[in-house]
Amino acid sequence: MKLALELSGLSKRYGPTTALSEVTFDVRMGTTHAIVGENGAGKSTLIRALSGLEVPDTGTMSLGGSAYRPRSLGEARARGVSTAFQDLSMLPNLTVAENLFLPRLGAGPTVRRRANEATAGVVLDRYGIGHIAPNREVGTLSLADRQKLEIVRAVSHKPKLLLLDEPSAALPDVEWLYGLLADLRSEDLTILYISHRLAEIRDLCQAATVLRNGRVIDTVSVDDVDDSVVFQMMGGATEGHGIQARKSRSSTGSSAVAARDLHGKTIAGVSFTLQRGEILGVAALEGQGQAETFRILAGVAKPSSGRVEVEGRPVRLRNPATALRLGLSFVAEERKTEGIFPGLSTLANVTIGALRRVQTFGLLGARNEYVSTLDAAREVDLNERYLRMDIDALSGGNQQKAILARSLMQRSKSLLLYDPSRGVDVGTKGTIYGLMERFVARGDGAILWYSTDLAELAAVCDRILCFYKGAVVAEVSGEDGNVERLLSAITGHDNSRHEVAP
Amino acid sequence: MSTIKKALSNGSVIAFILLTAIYVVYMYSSIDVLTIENATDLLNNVAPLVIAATGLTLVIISGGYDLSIGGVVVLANVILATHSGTTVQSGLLAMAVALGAGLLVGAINGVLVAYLEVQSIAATLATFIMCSGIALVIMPSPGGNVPEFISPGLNSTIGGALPVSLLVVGTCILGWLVLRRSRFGVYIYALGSDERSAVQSGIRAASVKFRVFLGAGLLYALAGVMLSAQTASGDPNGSALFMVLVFAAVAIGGTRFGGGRGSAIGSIVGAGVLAVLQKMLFALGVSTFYTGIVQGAVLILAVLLGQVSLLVAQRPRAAETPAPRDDRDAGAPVPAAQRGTS
Repeated sequence: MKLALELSGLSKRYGPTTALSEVTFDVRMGTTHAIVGENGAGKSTLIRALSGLEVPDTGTMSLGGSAYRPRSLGEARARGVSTAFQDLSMLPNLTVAENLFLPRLGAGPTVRRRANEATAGVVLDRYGIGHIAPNREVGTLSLADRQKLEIVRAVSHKPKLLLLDEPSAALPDVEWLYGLLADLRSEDLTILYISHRLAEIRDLCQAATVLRNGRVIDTVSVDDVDDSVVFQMMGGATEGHGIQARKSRSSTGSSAVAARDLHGKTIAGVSFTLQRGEILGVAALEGQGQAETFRILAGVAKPSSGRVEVEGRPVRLRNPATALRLGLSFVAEERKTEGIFPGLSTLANVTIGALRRVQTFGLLGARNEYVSTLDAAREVDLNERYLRMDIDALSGGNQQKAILARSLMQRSKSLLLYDPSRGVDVGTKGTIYGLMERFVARGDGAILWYSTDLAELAAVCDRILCFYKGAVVAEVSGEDGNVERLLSAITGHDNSRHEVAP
Repeated sequence: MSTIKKALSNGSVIAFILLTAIYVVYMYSSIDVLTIENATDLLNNVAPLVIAATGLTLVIISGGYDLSIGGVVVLANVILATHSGTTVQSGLLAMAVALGAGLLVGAINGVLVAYLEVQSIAATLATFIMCSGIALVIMPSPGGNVPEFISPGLNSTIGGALPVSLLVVGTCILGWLVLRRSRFGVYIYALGSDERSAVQSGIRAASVKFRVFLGAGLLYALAGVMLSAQTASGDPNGSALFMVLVFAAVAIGGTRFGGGRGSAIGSIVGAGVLAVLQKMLFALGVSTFYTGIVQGAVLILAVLLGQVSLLVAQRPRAAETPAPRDDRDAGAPVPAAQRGTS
């Protein structure tokens, strides 16, 4: 069997931190090879090295038998390596066609906009996303469409080695991706596939290399190992999925937050009640109005009609500050742009919403700030050493933990979590579930939780609201909330809303 | 409808409306506005600003700042005023040296920002101060003469009909339109929007940045030459206000400070707004002491109008965005107006 890629002794350090250490493994030609590991295990650094964006300190790479040491993305592409990046490298102010054809922007000496858009249309059609107009600005597309575009761009370079870094993280369903990969499958194409979802890896990959702290733990054949073995190797949740249904809690029945007949740009008549002590799930395909509902409750968007009640009293959520004062804390979907303050320390990011409580006579006491943050950090299992680091330097999962710690610091009673477990590793997911459980177990806490992962919703939630076309079309209880039932509801095949909120 | 929306979200349209409004007032304020001489005079006034604003727009769209404008302009001015000699050849040589100085400063800025990763404000502030210092060394006090082909040469007309400054402004507009449709033009926008993503899209960020500063340096030097045509002499201290007006022109034109959005057309129209405003106030008999106050107020007005029209342009209409399947929903980008000010 021919080898597509051989890595030998690859190491990369950034100052005191070791991102990759003696990474050695081979990838057989024509296979789909998974790379798994927790956040910070070195997967992204490996992808960046293979893409020509980082040059490893030591070690060698070989592509199709000949030495491979790219110093730029262009060199990597010239050797037939292309990448769909996890952080979506589409430029929001350029059109779909421009993004697709960067940096060459078509053959010929000048840029021919019309011709490029026509070609882009063909490419988009070819890969099943013909609904995206080539002349649209990427910034106006949904996250899922941007993700698909990122993948299509990588694929459109006709690579011999395709690197997919969390390609399904922003996709509400993987059908499209599976179809695309099945369509591409050939003897000449090798795929490196990074995902946190083991089910996907089982479906798509033949072999998997497990990374931990920048080192290769093992390379295994996917068919030969159990999930639990993989988890154990990743060094995270040895007890399994982390999805453990502990629905022994009982909601107190008193209303924490209620939506009454909310109307808006994308919603028409959304009503529900979030009770104290419960985790209320929200299941939906993308763009069914769930985002606007969350944003209304967070004070970011305003409904055109309808009202919101907090603890039974009607409230006007003029802005996020009002929502926070009323105890509603929103954790947004796009960490990079909406959640974190890049350039500030993790500590500052955690305390920023609760400065009043860590100050003395209007001045911030560094020690006070640090000590009072430690509890919140422990609660979300965020390692103390990260507090002093810039939040940009943290992996996605750890950033998410920091944002959750911020919500805890604000002593909010109701958390509005918008897909907090997207693109984070299994271990962190477990931590997030644990945090949610503890939060509602205190009795006065309540969580409204949207997730694109139906399995985790079904496992963790008491009740699950299914959004479809801007309304709650069904309410599935956690016990019988099996995934198929949810799936049929959110695709509009189930209109049996059991309990209609008053 | 979408055309109007597009126009509203384009900053240069606001600047153009402002320019028209001010020009109408100006027209009624004085009887000799619509003469060739007056129009030529106006174009002469605005040309230096137009060239410099075009250069600055390139830098700002690419995500940088450039304070070296003032330094380069004054450097070009004193070189012309002290080293022109008496012959046409020596004058041309002085002009070449002046333009070369602009390229050199641009190259230094470029190396500092693109390859040594110095923040652009710090790097260009340093070169501004250095150039101002060098200008004082070359010419300690105001005076001197610039070559005749520059003043009155660049202020006159070709064949009695086509003002040189109209040619200059036209070239800037045309050059921009060509650039906007070139690869390099797309790279500048990409870089200003998100450098990391631009690199991940295969753009060589450092090289693009370097070339932007190089081109901007050359344009500032050209602006210095045109400004010398106006003043006809050298002044080693006379650049701070000019630089402020260049930034104002870019802001009025709707270019986003921070990068990724804007156009040189807007900045050019913005330069026109400032120049016509000055003329109008003069024609109305307002003391020149008040010019700055009104210019500042117009700048604020333009920026506010820009924000309002963006909000209007981005308000979705029922017909265009059917409630259930609005796929903007989840991604729900922050309105550009908010992003623009951050």
